[in-house]
Amino acid sequence: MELQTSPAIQEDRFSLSIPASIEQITTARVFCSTLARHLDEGEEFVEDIKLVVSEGCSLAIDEGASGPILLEIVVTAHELLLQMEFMPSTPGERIPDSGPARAGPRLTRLDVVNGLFPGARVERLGERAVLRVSAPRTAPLGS
Amino acid sequence: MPGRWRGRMDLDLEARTENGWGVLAVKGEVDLYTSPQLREALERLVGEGASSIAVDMTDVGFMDSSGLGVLVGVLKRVQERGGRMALVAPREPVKKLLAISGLDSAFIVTPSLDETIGL
Repeated sequence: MELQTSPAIQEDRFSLSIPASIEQITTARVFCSTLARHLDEGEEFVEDIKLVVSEGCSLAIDEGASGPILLEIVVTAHELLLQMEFMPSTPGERIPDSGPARAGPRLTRLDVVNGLFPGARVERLGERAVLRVSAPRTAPLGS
Repeated sequence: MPGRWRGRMDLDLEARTENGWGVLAVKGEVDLYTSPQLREALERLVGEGASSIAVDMTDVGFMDSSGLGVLVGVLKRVQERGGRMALVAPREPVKKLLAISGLDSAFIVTPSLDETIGL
């Protein structure tokens, strides 16, 4: 696990690299919830972030991710920008925004994430895929 | 038949039959890693003849759509048999997941086990 923080005032970056395995999803949740609490975010926000990260890691594993899942959180005064980057098993093919549902006939992991933080999306970066989520902060500015 | 087992990390399951209900008490976090355990325990209850299922979620600290998918699958099986499925005392994050998924009305959601099984 790698924890980095920049000296910049406007923006701090935290990153975690985990194996793309189901056993490590909880590790990612702990990392993000610990960070959110450290930023004085409320418990509802913390729980939302945990769910986003869990769905994101699961999405990557569903897509047959090989290699690590790279999780980066950029903290600004107004939001947490979460990026989860992974290598899908079928490079070049589009990651479906509304792929096979596990929770219901039409529900996808991205649907869940969007239900918490609208605007979440999966993008392709060459052979890699990135889930991007913007989570508006609830803690007072400057926390 | 009552049963208690602890398998993979972060999930503890205790099953019993009470007042005609199959009751499964779940403790821990339900995600892609642990949800197969939840499925196995619930399917065992259904397989043993429980027509209605109550899942005691008092001690479920976290659940994502992997767990929800398991619950939906069992709900369908129970409903096919004319039974009911109740989620007992889910915490707010679980309620929120149910609401986001539009499944909050699919399950019976109750605040206590006694109320659910009519004790």
